[in-house]
Order: sequence, then C-alpha cells, then structure tokens
Amino acid sequence: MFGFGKKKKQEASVPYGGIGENNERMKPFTLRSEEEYEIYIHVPFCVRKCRYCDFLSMACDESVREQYVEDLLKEIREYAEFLKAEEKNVSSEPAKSGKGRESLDATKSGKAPDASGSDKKLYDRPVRSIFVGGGTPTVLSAESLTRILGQVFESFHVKEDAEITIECNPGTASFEKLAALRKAGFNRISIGMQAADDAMLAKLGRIHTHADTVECVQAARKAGFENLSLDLMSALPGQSLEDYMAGVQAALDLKPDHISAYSLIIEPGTEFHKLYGENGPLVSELPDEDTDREMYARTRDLLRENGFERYEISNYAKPGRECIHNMGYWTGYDYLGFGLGASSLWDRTRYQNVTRLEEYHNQVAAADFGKLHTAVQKLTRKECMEEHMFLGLRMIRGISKSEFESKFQVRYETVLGPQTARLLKQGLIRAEGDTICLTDFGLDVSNRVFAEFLLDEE
Amino acid sequence: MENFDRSRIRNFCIIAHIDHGKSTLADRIIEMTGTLTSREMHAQVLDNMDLERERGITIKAQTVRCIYHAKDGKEYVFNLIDTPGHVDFNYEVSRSLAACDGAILVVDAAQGIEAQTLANVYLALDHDLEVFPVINKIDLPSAEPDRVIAEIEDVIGLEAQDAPLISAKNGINIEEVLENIVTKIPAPTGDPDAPLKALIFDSIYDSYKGVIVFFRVVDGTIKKGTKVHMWATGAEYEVVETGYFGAGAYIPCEELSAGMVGYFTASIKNVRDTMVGDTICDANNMAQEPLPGYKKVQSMVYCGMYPADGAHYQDLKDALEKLQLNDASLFFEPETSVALGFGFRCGFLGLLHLEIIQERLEREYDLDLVTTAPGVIYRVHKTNGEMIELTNPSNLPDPSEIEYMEEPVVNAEIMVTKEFIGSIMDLCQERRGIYQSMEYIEAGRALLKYEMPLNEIIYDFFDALKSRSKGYASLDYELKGYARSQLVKLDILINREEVDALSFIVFEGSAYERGRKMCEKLKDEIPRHMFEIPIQAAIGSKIIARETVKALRKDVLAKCYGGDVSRKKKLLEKQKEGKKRMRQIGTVEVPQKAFMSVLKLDEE
Repeated sequence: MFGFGKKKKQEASVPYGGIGENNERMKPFTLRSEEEYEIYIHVPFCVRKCRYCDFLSMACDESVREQYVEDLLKEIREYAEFLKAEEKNVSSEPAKSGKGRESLDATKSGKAPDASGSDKKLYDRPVRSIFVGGGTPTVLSAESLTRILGQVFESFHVKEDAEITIECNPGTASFEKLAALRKAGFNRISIGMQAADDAMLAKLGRIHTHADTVECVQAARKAGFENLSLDLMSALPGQSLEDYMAGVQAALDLKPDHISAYSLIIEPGTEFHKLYGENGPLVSELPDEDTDREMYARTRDLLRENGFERYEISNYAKPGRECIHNMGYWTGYDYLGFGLGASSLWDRTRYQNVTRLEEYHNQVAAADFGKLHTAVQKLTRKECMEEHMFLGLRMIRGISKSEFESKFQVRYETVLGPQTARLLKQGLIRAEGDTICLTDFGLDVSNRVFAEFLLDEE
Repeated sequence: MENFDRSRIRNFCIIAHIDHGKSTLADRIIEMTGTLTSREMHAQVLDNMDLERERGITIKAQTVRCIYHAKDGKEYVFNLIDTPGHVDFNYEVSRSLAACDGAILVVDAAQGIEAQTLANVYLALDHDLEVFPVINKIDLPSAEPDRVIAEIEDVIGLEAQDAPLISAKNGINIEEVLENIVTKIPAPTGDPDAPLKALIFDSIYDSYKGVIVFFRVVDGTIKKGTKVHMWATGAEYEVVETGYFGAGAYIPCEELSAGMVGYFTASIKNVRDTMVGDTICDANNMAQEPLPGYKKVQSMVYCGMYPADGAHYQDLKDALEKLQLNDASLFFEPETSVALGFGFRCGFLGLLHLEIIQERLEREYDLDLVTTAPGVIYRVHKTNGEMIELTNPSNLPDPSEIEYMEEPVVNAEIMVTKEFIGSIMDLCQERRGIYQSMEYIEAGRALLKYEMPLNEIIYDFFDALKSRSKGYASLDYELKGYARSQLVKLDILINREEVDALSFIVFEGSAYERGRKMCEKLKDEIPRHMFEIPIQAAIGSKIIARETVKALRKDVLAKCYGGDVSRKKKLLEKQKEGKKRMRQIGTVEVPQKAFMSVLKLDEE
C-alpha cells in the first residue's frame, strides 16, 4: 500500500531495538533525505540504439519526441501538485493514511491545494540535484530541455547551488545548443565518450567518432560547462589492455573533471548478447576476468597520477567534483524520477514509472499516478539497512557505523557484527575507526560482500 | 460366495514387459466382469500409488476378485494377482507367481518379447503355471501380430496360433481373454481339511487394521479366531478378520479354504513379522513342513540419505519408519557424515527401489534430500580372518588389514536388436562383463548373457544401455554370488579436505577413469570462490586425478544508479539464496546437487 506522508516528516526518531520490527507501520528513523532530495528525468530517445545497450531508449521521429516533452512537463507539474496536496491532507487529517493515490481525485474535485504557498512543505525540502539522462537527452531540442528544466524550477524548490547534469552524446550537440543548455541552468555535462578508437566506437554501434568527442568537449567548455564528465567503457570485445589504456589517456587529454569507467556488461536482449553472451559465437573475443580487473586497477592508478580519486566502484573525480546526484543514490537520499520508466525513492517507497511509451502517455494524460507508478515497494526497516550497506559500500569511503546507528537506532554490531567479522577476516572489507569500506579485492568481488549484508528475516 | 466350488476358481496373474499393457488389461477384466461400475473405474485400478500410475509400473502386488459369467453358463471367481513388474522385485514376483495357477502373457504386437518378459515367463513356467499368450495393441499401425506369434512360439515354445488378438486400451476381444482364463487356466487343487498352509505374497500396513496380509491358501482353512503361526519368523497372531479383495476394497468373509486367495488381519504392528514368501500355519494344527521358496529379502544396493536441511533429520526418520511399515525390504540405520551431517544408510532391492523410495520421500513427505552414490555390499576379508560386509565406503578398514575383497556378481540377460549387438557387447566388456552366451531369438534379435559385477550395473548401466541401443535393449539380472575382485576406495578431496560423502568403492582398473570424471564433474558443479580450489581424486595417499576451480577475480556490478537498485537487490538475494543451499566443506561451499550429479557421470 502506498503511504505518502503517513507521518510528519519532522517527527523525531524513536529509539528501539532489534531489526525484527515489522514494517507495515514501521517506526520512523531519521533520514537525511527528509531534508534534501534529488530529481531524475529520463529521455528515452537516441539517434540509434547502441549494440550493447539495454537501457530504455529508442530511435523515433520528431512528433513522438514532441509529445513526450509535453507529457513530461505535465507529469512534473501534476505530480508536484499531487504531492503538495498529499502533504496538506496529511497535515490537516493526520489520521488518514495509505490512501495517497486516491486523494488526487479529491484534488481534482475542488479541494485543490492552496497553491499560493501556504503549504510550504515541499518547497521547504530543497532539491539538491537534477539529472537529465537517457537515452540521449540531447536529441531533444535546447528549447524542449529548457522548458523541462524550467518546469522543475517552477514546481519544486531547487537549491541555488544544485548540481544540474545533462547527459550528452558527441554528435548530438552543437556549441549553440550547449550554450543554450548552460544558460537554461545546466551546470554539469556528462559526455558519452566510451572509447577513443573509431573502429571500436563503430563496433559498439556508437554514432560518433573520437573527433566528435573532442569537438563536443571543446564546445561544452566554450559554452561554460565547468563541470565536465566523460564516460568510458572497458572490457570491450577484442580490446587489449593497451588499447583500453590508450583510451583512458585520450580521455585525460581532454581534461575532464570527472570520469566514469565501466566494465562492459553483456545484458540479455541486446545485440551484443547474441554475439558475446554465454553461448555466443564470439564470446572468446571478450577480455578475460584478469584483464578486466587489470583494466580497473590501471585506470585507478593512471587517474590517480593525474589528480583523480576513485570514489566509487566505477567513478573517479578531481577533488570536489564527485557527482552529487549519484552520491545521493548511494547514501539514501530520496529522489523523484520523471519520464518513461524512471525510478523514484520517496518516503521509503520505491516505485517505477511504466515502461511502455503509449501507456506512459495515457496515464500521464489521465494524471493517474496509481497506474503510472508500478513495482511500488514500501521498504521495510530491514531493507533500508540492507540498502544502506550495499549502496553505501559502493563508495570507496565506505559507510559510517555511527551514522548507521543513529539512522536505525540500533547498534551496528547487533545487526551486522558476525558478517562484518567474517568479511574482515577474509580481507574483503576494512575497518578504520568508525568506517567500514571495501578493500581493493573486496571491490572486485563486491557482490559477494553485499550479499553477506542481506539480513535474514526474523 | 465363500463356499464357492473350487473347480470354478481361477487364480492367475498377468505377465508383461513395462508398457506392454498389463495394467490396462487388468482394468478391462475388472470392468468387463462388472466388479466396478464404470463410474468407480478410473484408469488402472490396480496401481494404487500415484507413483505407480505415473511410472506405469507396479511396486506392490495388488489383487482383485471378479465374478465372471462364462459362456458355459456358470459363474467363475477370478483372482487376479497383479505382480510387481521390475527386476528389483524379482523375489516378490516369484512369490506372487507361486500364488497363481496360471498366467496371461501379454506381448506388445509391435515390440514383441523383451528380456524381462522372457525372465518372467520362465519364472512362471518354473512354478508350473499354465501360461497362455495374448497379443496386445493389435490396433497400432506398427502391429505385426504374425511376427510376434512366431516369436512367442520360437523363443518361448508356447502355442500362440490361437492367442487372442486384443487391444486392452480400446476393449477389443477382451471376452476372448476371459473365456481363455476359464478354459486354459486350471482350477486350484489342495485339501481344505489338511493342516493350514498358506503362502504370503504381500502385506501392507493399514493404520486402523494393522498389517493386512495377502495370501493364497494351499491347504486347509483359515478363519476368524485361527491362531496363525508364521513358519520363518515364528510370529503368532489370532486372526481378527479374513476376507477377499473387491476392487479397491476389502470385503470380509467367514473363512478362506484351499485354493482361495484373500487377506487376514490380526492387529499386526510390523510387516517384518509377515515376510513375503513365508508360510502361514495353524499353531494348533501345525503342518509338517513349509511351502518351498522362502528367502529372506536382502538389500542389494545401499546409499546414504541426508536431509538437505539438517533440521529435518527427525522428519526423515519418521518418513522412513512409515515407509518401512509397508515395505519390509527397505532397510535403514543412522549414520553420520562429516560433509552431510546426520542421515541414514539405506538399503534397497535395487536402483529402481532406491529411486522410488527417494521420490516418495520427496513427494509424499515433502523432504529435500541429498543422496550419496549408491553402492553394493562388499565382503571384506581381513587378515585376521574376520569377514565384514561393507555397505558404507567410509567404513573400509585400513588396506593393511585387508586380505582380499569380494563383490556381488549377477547373471545379466540383455535382449537387443541385431544392429546394436556390437555396441552392447562393447559396453558389457567395459563394465567387466564376462561373456556367457548369445542366442538369436529370431532373425533380428539376440539374447546376450553376461556375468557382471552388480557394482557396474548400478553405476549408470541402464542409461548407457539405453543410449547405446537407442532404447531398444532390455535388461534382466539376478544375483549369482560373490567373486573376488581387485577393489579400491576412491576418495575425493575438495580443497585438500577429504569429503566422506563422495568416497566410493571401485574396481581398481576403472579407478583412474572414474576419478578423472568425478573431478571434472565437480569442477563444473562447484562455484568459483575467492580462492583457488583443487579437486582431487585419491586412492589412499596417492592422488590420481586433479582439477582446479579457478579463483573468482570479479563479481561486481559496474553500474548501480537509482533505477538499478531493486533489480540489483534481487540479484544479491538470489546469490544469498543459492548460498543457503550449499554444504560447507572446510571453507568451500558445495552445492547439494554436486553430491548427486556425480552419481551419473555422463558417457563420453
């Protein structure tokens, strides 16, 4: 059952014991996310789908894109209204709970919230970051993207210094477009470089050459993007360690502030899966595990020499340039996702928008969020603990035991003592004072570590 | 009804190879004699257990009495005794046959005679049963009744020219079969006034009545109040109820006398008091001697059975006890394995029996089991003159204390079509078979006879036979005796730790090959760990094969952003679940199925 605002946000946390507490009416615990939260906007379009890609994206024509932008604007606007109405309902009728979705109709039927600002709650919660991702967001026009961002500014309270990222593929953004986006408020750009070798780019099904990437980076800088990230891929079919490292060097030559370097995952349903999947004819072209790990290790070393610190399994940044938005995912911030298939975490509930374009359009048109949102999952306290661990440990800095304890009001050792001791002994994690973090080897086999932090039902 | 004229009783059984239509014919006979209305009738009445119905085999003997109005105007009592249909239950089959005066031989009009048919026909003829053939499935397009008739005459030497051509499934010519039963099968003989002698051919446990004993009265009379004495077991009981078998029901009657087939109850708590083949006597009027043919059933195949979850040990024990109430041939005793914890060493009549018990435990009792490799009983002659019967490889004495070892050997008969003779002979050779003879049954088929260690048969021989003959070969075997053999204990070491549950006894000459295959298979079954895991096969301290499970270098999800969290968590949960189904061997987690998959090492 959905339960927006079952309780007052500012309610003080109540100390209590073990993890067995059952969750339907889970006692609150302090969430930092009760303050700031994040917004993600999904643009499911590309010029062409890459051969390895299993993201929700598609090539399509102008009219579909235009309709989508309209839907997106409506979704952002109406959902913000809905949440505000929700909060108002809750504060005036504290007993009412679990009826979140229906009360939208109440809104429609006249009990509209006082939009003049007497209900300041949502506005009081500042948005600390916005991320427009895809697909390739830059296949939309600068005007559309400006309108979308504008709608977010209008509907939500976005912090002055919020990090506002747009993903961009080389070959989809001219200097003029980038300048317009910068002007609209985007202050961070993440460019899908992937590789520096044109033959490899072609193999991946990318639409650009390395020259396009170079040009795109220059244009972005010129347009005023001071915070620029490059995406790289490793463990590509036929790629040697040297090929790959040449690509990392090429990325460094472009002087980014941030680099994400991901090992290729062969996802089911992709063109690559047919070729390089477990029984694919070309599976032997993939670099072996040792090479794959060597690529990670060498990336870390080379980037460190150049002033980048690894701060997450696949992410590296110059000091102060860590991606605030992504850090939010790993540290339990709430986030609202808009657009096709976008995911949200709100009030300890995870949900995802529908993934079929037509259905998305229909549900947005009807402003039926009960149907727009699928896979609605209210997180139990146990699940929150698990996420705290397996997301938090993705970051090199690890997690803080005292933070865990104050958040969940339980001693860390009581809940996670045995597995922590075991993993320490196996050399997969390290404990330094209050912090628990993965060792280098622990990072390479992090799934094994994370699985240990899943808790048994009581 | 009880005092039916003995000349109008017919006690018979049906002999057939699996799938040749034994149960279907039984159903038709029951249906045609009106023993059951068609509403009560549901396919294959006699096969009671779900498992029997599914596998199309009979495990327990079943019996039914029908009344037939023959063409001569008289009423006849038919006692149809359905026998178990598998080589594992050979002894039970022979006792069921001994309770009959005649047998219907059902042969598939397309497939002809199979090894097992032949074995059972000979068994019936040995018991002086009158056997008449019936050709079934004549409505199949591939039916060749003439060829099959010729085969029956040539191979078995039974007159088959006027054999009824029937389709049990579609009810064609069943009447003719019924008439044949009247005319061809003799009425029982025996003296109702002589001291009681009755043959037990099965017994089942009923939670209300206690053991229900199935028997055929040879001489004398048994009724309520008779104080019965079991010749072999010495158990004595006072009969509470006698009766005969309606289809699916026990119908009490006053008494049963010579020639009749029925049951009695006497609040008997344990089927082991009423062993199949034993003679029931009257304690107050003892017969001079028992009926011939009683043998104490002995388990031929042993394996360890362990609950997958150690917490279910008691459940497994309870289930085995319940099954044993009904199955005197099931043996079990507690044992402990370092790798698998607490469980039982169980003995079975054969592999099928093992599989049936395993399936019943899993399905009827909802238990998750880990079963170790089945083995036979080896005789270990020690240097100090002592001989031990070894059922668990872990108990093998130190080699220095062993003078020599013996293993059970069987006479195997394999019926195979001509084109596969070569490959089946190769197979028997590989399995240490000693060629005895080969007879051509007809132009296209031969009967091969081999002497073969039982150990080789229980190790995927059936599968190999099937695959090398495209399913055309059939096998029958019986225990011949024990023979001296060069045997060794093969141990498996995982990460240098010996895993007792994986040890087995093997012929020295096959040890290297088996060890290599075991290692290869285990290498595939054991997931990679964060360290390298050597898997070794050893005889004593000598390593004869090795494989390595490479260390895991990478298990990481490169990306995990807002939309990935739920999916990612499912992945981790799956990983955790998988881990729960593992057995901890030192620092290595071994999946339960690894213990069982090595039972069947695929043919190359």
